[in-house]
Amino acid sequence: MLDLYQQEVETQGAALNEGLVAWESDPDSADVDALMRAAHSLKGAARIVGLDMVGKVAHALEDLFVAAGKGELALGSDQLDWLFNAVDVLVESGQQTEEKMSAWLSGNAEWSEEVIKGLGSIQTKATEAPKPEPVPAPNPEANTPATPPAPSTTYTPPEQTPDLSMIDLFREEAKQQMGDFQAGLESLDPASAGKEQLEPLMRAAHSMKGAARIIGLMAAVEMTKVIEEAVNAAIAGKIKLADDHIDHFKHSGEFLSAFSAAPDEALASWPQEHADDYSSLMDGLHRTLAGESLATAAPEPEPAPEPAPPETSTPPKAESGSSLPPEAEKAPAPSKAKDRAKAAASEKSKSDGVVRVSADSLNRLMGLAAETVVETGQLENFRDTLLRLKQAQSDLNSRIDSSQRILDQLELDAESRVHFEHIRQAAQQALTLVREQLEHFDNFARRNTLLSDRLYREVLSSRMRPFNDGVQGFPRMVRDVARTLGKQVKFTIEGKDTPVDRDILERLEAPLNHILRNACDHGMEMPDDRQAVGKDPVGSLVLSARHSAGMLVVEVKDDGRGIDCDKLRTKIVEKQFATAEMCEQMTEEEVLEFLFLPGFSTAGKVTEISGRGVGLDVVQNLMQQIAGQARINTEVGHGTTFHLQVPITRSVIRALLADIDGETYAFPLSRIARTVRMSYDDLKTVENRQYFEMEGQNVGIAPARAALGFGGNTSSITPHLDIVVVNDRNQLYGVEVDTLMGEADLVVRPLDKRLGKVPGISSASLSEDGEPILILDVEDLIASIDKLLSGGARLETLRSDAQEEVRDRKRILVVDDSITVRETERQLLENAGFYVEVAVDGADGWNAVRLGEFDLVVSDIDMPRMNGYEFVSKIRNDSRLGKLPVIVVSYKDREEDRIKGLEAGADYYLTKSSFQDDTFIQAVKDLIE
Amino acid sequence: MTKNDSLDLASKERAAMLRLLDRSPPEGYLDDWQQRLRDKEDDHDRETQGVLVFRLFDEWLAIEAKIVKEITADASVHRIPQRTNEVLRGLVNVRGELQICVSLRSLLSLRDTGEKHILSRRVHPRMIVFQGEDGAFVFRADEVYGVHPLEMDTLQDSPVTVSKAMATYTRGLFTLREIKVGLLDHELILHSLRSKYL
Repeated sequence: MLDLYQQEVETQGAALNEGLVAWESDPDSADVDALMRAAHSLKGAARIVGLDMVGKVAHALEDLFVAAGKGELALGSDQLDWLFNAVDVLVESGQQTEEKMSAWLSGNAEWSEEVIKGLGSIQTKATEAPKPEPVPAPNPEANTPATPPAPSTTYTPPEQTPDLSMIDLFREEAKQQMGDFQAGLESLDPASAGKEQLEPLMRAAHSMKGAARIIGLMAAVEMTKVIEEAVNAAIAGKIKLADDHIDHFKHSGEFLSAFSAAPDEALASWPQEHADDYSSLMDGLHRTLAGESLATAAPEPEPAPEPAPPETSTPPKAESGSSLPPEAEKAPAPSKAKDRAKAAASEKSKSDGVVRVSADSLNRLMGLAAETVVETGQLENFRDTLLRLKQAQSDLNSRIDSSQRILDQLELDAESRVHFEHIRQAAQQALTLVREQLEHFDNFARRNTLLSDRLYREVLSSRMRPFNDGVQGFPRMVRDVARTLGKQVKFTIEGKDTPVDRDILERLEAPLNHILRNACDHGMEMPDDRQAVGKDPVGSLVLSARHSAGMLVVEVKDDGRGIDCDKLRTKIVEKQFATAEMCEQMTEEEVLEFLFLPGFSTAGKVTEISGRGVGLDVVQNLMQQIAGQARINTEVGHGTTFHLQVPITRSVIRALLADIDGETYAFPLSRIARTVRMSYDDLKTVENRQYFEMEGQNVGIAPARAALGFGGNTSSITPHLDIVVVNDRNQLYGVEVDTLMGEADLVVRPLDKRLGKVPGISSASLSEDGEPILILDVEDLIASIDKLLSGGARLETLRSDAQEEVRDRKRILVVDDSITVRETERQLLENAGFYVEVAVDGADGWNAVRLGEFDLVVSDIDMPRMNGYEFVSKIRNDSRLGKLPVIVVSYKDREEDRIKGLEAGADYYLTKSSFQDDTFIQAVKDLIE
Repeated sequence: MTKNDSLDLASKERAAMLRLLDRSPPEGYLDDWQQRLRDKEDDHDRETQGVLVFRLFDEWLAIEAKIVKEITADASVHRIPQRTNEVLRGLVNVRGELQICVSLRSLLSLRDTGEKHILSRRVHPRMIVFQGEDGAFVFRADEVYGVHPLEMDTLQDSPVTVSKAMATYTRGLFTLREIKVGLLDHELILHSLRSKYL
């Protein structure tokens, strides 16, 4: 149901935002009915999925629209802020996943209350006095919970000096374990939870404890220890868990996650800085362990790593709306609204408005459609065969006809004549049949070719979405920005239906966001200034999209102050991007290009709206990635236009096909400077490097085979070389291929994810006859060419020497589900001169041990899928592996655990404290040296 | 016909019927049926598994049919620069999708000895697509026999004479039309492909 709710919120939320923005700019034409309907549907939807709080907000919003519809109240921008806030609550509620929902609800209850009050106050105001006034700030005291009583026992975080050498691994592990932990809690029903549900929790806490101990994060060790003990107690039935305990576990998990995610330099002091949270969490955990109920305990402190929990005496911060001092005249809404809008924009789900199809399924459809085209191409061959058959039949018939004349001269009896007549007729029938079939087949082939072609195009175009889908958030964003700046902007979007590839649309969002903010901030003048120069105080900002010459053209046009190129020149010189003389020489266009350079900003000061460290270079970066172009037109006093030209789709590219070592590769046409066919005589050699001269420039040549890592030389017997000249940052490179094969439109398929990044290759495709083609990654290829030209090719041989050496070393398999432990063991063993492979659990280890020819196995006990006891017994029972030495390393240090491990067949049973001294390494050496 | 007549006839028929039902069963009849029912029961107990039987060089092998996605005509393989090795052969087009092609021959260290038992009337090389946990693999087989219902308890241990790679990757041997067929351990094969060759 939540899925449906999310879709509903997406549609109705967009309608509400759009309607409200329209209302603000022109209250008379507003479609209040539509707004009311949207709020009403959301109210219903929220109640169906059980989001009462959200339902209340929608209800208040609906009431307000009803009143407005009757003409009972007029709304100004200040009032509308509350309405926008309400929409934000609704939209955000639709962006929560099932797991996150409860956290979101509790985190935003206060905000929602505030919004409902705000909405209510507009209505009361309206009935009391016809003239609306700014919304008074809500009384912060009313909503802030009373200061909670201090927890009964105070726990001070232990001192710690973390060892940061493996902190990245630890973070990764913490993320995974805490993820498992939270997931386990989420699906846990405390009333019916049994061993199977609780054990994963115990394991996650246990692994986290071990990992934290290795890093030296003692606060985390202490906390996970209590969690583990508490869960163990629950498994043993010593304590009963209730919902409040589970919640407390969740908060502890969040605390641990926040702790492990803290930046390196803050890790040591983090627990001290969050001592209050730590103390109350530990208190709760200890009480859980003692079997007490937490229901009567003090409310939880905010689990989020906020530096100022509500109960501290820190002065109220402006970022939390409710803690603004009451004397503030202005409503807190705008700043809050802006933050929310920003968050919403970044989190905005990229789902399809109509149906959701997985990318995998779409890829498969594309594959099938392409294959249909290939297969239909084969019909042509079949038709040719039919044609030949028809020809043969015609020949046969004419022979029979001519033999008729010979027969006429012979004296034949009647029976023979009838017989020959039958032959003639049969041949005639066969010819007619073949002709008919050929005609049928022609029609059939034509229809099929047409159909498969259409199918293919349709599947390709299913990646297209209307431009509007990607820019729905902008009207609201522009409205909020303009309002914060005190400017008046009329924002319109043209070409909303223009189809754009969904990938391109997604990528355009960030740069467009940036350009629009820039336009509001720097481009637009204040209303008074505009009036002073005789312009409409309301500025115009237009975002438009259209197709032009096979490209998508997106423009952002404002009628603001424009960019002063002379000022820009001064700036360029100031920033030492160019000398004054050079600047004088530059055309206006060239000067404007500097705006796209990283670190070049025209903003006098860094404001929150724009100039947040990212410049227009984000635009330029994107253009490079997707083979587009960006241009600026400007006229001082009249405005600026940003002109982006991008390919309509990235799923089909025009490419040059070339044969390299007997197989087909494709160069994207956009990266090719030119192709050259030259004779060997034009080749020059300097210091073993080959080059040729092109337009006065020396272009180095490298064989594509070598750049791709294939041995051998071009085996062509032709007297000429085929060379593709590619350029990279104005440097030209010649790539020698075996044969140039011609151009083709290729449908780009991603490479199998399991292959990772393949050097020199960006993606794959299929040729017209269904053969695989690899599409070259020109930048990557140039990098390998550079390496080749500078003699880096020798690296290969060095590496094989290193592998040779590895073969002499003893091989050890390390099996542990904790990445931190795994890597610690690996480092210890590698430092001691062993070759180490790792496996992540017993089942993985069992597979690895059968393949690896190991001299020793080191294994953990507590692991998912197959535990250590099982794993060791399996090794002992295998005819080939039976004698393989095994060391078990576990946290479990009780004697009975030891005995169990040794009984399963382990040669040594060590605890993880053995890493501290050389016990572990000594045991390994005892067994295999 | 009077009422009495019909009653009389009915009682005669009834007597005949009873005689028919009461007669003793023919010789061996009961034993026969007991045996048949007992056999049925045994059949139920026996665990059968559909396995796809194919040939690589002269070696007949089988994998569990449930992981086989499809079998297609032979297709050409495009090498992947810097990735292609003995086992990982490259990319192959299977119904419009590019799949990773591997060589089971190399993985199992098989050699061509030239003597082969052929089971089909016409021999075609085929591409077999099988599903791993995170994606499919394709390998080329010299001949595909088809799916055979294998009774798992007829599986014998691999003899010590087979090569080490074969011994590692097979779960056991069974006999099909007087030919020894090795059942492959697909989990180990997938693990090995993932961890060593990708």
